[in-house]
Amino acid sequence: MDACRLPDRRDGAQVIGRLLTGRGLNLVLRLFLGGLFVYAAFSKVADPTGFAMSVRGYKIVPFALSNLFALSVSWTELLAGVMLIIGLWTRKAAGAIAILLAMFIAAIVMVLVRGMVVDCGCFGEGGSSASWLLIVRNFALLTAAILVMRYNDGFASVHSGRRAGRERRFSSTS
Amino acid sequence: MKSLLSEILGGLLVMVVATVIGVTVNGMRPNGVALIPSGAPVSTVQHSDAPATADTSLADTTVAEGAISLAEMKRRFDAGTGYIIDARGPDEYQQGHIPGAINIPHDRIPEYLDALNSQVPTDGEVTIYCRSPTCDFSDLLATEMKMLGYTNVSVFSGGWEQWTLAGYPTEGMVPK
Repeated sequence: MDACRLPDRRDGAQVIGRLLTGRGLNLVLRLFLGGLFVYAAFSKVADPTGFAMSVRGYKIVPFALSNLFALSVSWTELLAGVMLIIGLWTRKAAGAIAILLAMFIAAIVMVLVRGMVVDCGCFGEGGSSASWLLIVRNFALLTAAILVMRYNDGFASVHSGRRAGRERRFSSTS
Repeated sequence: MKSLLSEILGGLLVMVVATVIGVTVNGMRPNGVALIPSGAPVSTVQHSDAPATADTSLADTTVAEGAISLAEMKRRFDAGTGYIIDARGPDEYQQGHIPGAINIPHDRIPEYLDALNSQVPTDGEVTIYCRSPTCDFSDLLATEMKMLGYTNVSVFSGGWEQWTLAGYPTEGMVPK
């Protein structure tokens, strides 16, 4: 990050605020989220039957909609992940990721509260079980997605849908 | 909050587009899934708090559709011509299971798919059990197996609990 973005020695909170909303962190989060979700989508897209089984295991989505839901989630992960990596409508892609993560968190909570044993379905077939730790991890990812969604400025992007650099939330130049 | 709304709506749009692409690609693939899965989920779990019983006459009359009674389970076990599947986790299976039962944990079916395909023919007489009348692992496994093409799938709803209460043979545990 370049030095002229830091304010003139104001308090720590403001510095942290700028770091969190700054371009550098945003780029890192954007690429990380994109890569993670493309990776997660891979085996689900390759084996839709297996992922649909995981969806049914949660017993939340109606049986008749389970296959369609599985297709929707896995391909959203793939498409949004690719969009984040190349920087195509970045904030909308991050929005899709955020919606997915919110859904995952809600689903895991429901399953744990009911005391069910369920395959998480996170990275395709039978990796791990849904657990409280998973909820913590998903909250962290959700935070990252929200940061990208809200503060991405279109830097190093194919077409973020936003004029790069000109509409940053915390503009240091006036 | 106008831009937040546009980002959320944009996210939903991405999901819609992804779904359309996914459904299209899925339709072109040989291993694609049916958009609406055929059949209905197997549901034999009884939600009452009635304790498991070894009284076979009672067991004969209280099973749900798709389920078999303790007496029928014993008959199938003695006949030895079908396939018995334990839908519980590997730990429970190792501690004790019905002799000859194959372990296919209900939440790890894809991992065990090869074992299932190689050991159980799709037209074989399949009986699945799990812990007890209130355990639905066997229902879940039965549902998936039917979707995979198994034509003769039943659930022994009494499960391990009813089998052991009746004092029938077991494998895996330290003998009493």
